[in-house]
Amino acid sequence: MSVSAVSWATLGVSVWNSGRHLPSAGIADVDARRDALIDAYVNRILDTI
Amino acid sequence: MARRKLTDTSHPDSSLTAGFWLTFSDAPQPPMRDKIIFLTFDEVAKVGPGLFNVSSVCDRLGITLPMINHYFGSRDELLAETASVFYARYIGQLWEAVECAPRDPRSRIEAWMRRQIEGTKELGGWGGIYNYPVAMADVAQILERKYGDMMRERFEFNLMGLGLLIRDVRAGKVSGKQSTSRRSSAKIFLPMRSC
Repeated sequence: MSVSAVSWATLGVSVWNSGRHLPSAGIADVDARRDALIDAYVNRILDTI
Repeated sequence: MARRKLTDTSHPDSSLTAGFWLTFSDAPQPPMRDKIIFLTFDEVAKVGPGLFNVSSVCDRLGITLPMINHYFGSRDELLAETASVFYARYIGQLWEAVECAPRDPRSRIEAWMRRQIEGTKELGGWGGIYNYPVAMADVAQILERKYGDMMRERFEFNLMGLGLLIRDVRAGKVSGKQSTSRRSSAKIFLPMRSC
């Protein structure tokens, strides 16, 4: 279960970041904080292992 | 178009230098077949498979369209083979990042995650084929038929390794000797390791 959880979680943010998800593209707050959001997300996943 | 000499390594596109080819493998002048694959990767990553024009690859390399068919059979076969090669490369890069990370459990799994985020971004337009195969059904069918077993093998290898990384985090130590067999069972192009 842990493998699929970490794998899916990472795939999700990877695809979102790579594809420039249309509905959230162009939202200034998201664009400005993209790297910080990803950092926080990665750290949150790591903390849950 | 005049016939190229086998020793001719120049191309109409002057940006295709040894430095460009070295971003894909250790060979400053790879065989023409590999150059076609590398350039196809580069173009699809930038514009996606839908807008990919194989004539552009031919023009940049200074080869004719029949050469593509000679090497690969068709445009879709070229796309499928390139997708398989770069999937294997993508997985290889994940484990290269792990090997390059500081030897503590959290750093290693973080390196795996961050390399996946970065690597998926580098795949760019290829994401459509890997993640939404219905969007490119003709190519996806070839990919499954010819390279499905290899890709599943790499996928399972990757998840097995991830399981070990998770186990190490929970144990608080790096267990055993990491063996990623990065070039086993599939042709994987990776430049010289930089760490």
